[in-house]
Amino acid sequence: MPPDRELRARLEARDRGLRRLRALTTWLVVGAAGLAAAFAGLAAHSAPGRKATRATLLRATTTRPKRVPPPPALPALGSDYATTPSAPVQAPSPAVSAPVVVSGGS
Amino acid sequence: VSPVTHTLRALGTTATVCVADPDGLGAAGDVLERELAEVDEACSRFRPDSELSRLNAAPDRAVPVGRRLLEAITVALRAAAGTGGLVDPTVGRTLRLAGYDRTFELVAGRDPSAFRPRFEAVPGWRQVEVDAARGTVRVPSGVELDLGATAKALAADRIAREAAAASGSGVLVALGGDVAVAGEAPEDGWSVRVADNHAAPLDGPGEDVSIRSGGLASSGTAVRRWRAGAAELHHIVDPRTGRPAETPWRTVSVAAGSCVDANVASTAAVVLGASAPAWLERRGLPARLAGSDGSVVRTGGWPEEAA
Repeated sequence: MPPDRELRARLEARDRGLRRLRALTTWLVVGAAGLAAAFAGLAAHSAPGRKATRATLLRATTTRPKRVPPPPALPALGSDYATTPSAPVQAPSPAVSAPVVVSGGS
Repeated sequence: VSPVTHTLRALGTTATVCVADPDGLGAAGDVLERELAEVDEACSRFRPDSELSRLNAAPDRAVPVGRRLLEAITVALRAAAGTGGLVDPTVGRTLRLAGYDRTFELVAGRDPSAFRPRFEAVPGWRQVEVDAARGTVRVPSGVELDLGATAKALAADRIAREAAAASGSGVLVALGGDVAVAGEAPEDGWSVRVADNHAAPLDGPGEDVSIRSGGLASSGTAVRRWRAGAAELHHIVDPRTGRPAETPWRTVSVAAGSCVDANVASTAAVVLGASAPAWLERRGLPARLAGSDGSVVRTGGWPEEAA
């Protein structure tokens, strides 16, 4: 192959390579931007910020029936007081001595 | 040695401390009197200067409260949460409108024809906001707290514990129908008569049982009743209706791990009505339910009446 043809062929090959590289770069940029947008949307949906929550709640109150609010957090107490009434260590037994007090309505 | 007792009037009812060792009676009696005074100042709905009255009169604000009231409200909210709202401290307003707006002696003495009762829906315990770190409580407008279902029982538990420590003796404390014991019990346990009225004589009708720990409480519709207009009312409000509970039970007595738990369970049982025995049985709570028709149902290993 003559030198000038060989040179042209090499230049064309280089230009084709550069075009492919530019196209690939463009697609990569577009793809990255798309993925970033998708992840941002996903994150905003799963963990909304304060403003977004308020807007959602405002819409909810106008379009949905009112929900029962969740129970408030109760302050901690000593272990003597369970959340539900606790059974005694030992059930009452028949009395064998005279009573000292009366338990009844008051 | 037989247990000895010290009795006085407080919180609109009878308060008794009983010690297994007679030498400990003085110390135990001091604890009883001091604690009752503090509870009355903090939790009374009928004293305009009590912390609770000031809280009820200041809606929509975070009101600083003392540790007694903070604990009493917290325990009341836990009772509400633990019973699915069957025992709810926000019954105060409907109870007041129904006529229970002053000490019971005054309610019972009022001319029934001069008062027309009203009833309102119960707002629900979720409306109450407690900030334990700041020591504040906020109730919204229209919400009034009544701690009658739990504050006395809470006081009985605390007095029993502190009196046992101060006296070095086994102690029983009874505030109205709410009984708490602490320390080493007498050899035969603490013998308690279960009846419709806590003020009944010790040799009157009733069943005797023995307890060694925890608490025993009775709730009923037979004693705290009043007439208002043409209606006859009682003090146990069904939070689902805002009206005095319609129940087949005259008196329900429950033994539990603490006096608070016993009182919460006995009050919930009155409100629940016919399904109360199954509810108590599921929780393993020994109970005696006396029906208005004279029947008696026992659950959770409550002993049969001695022949």
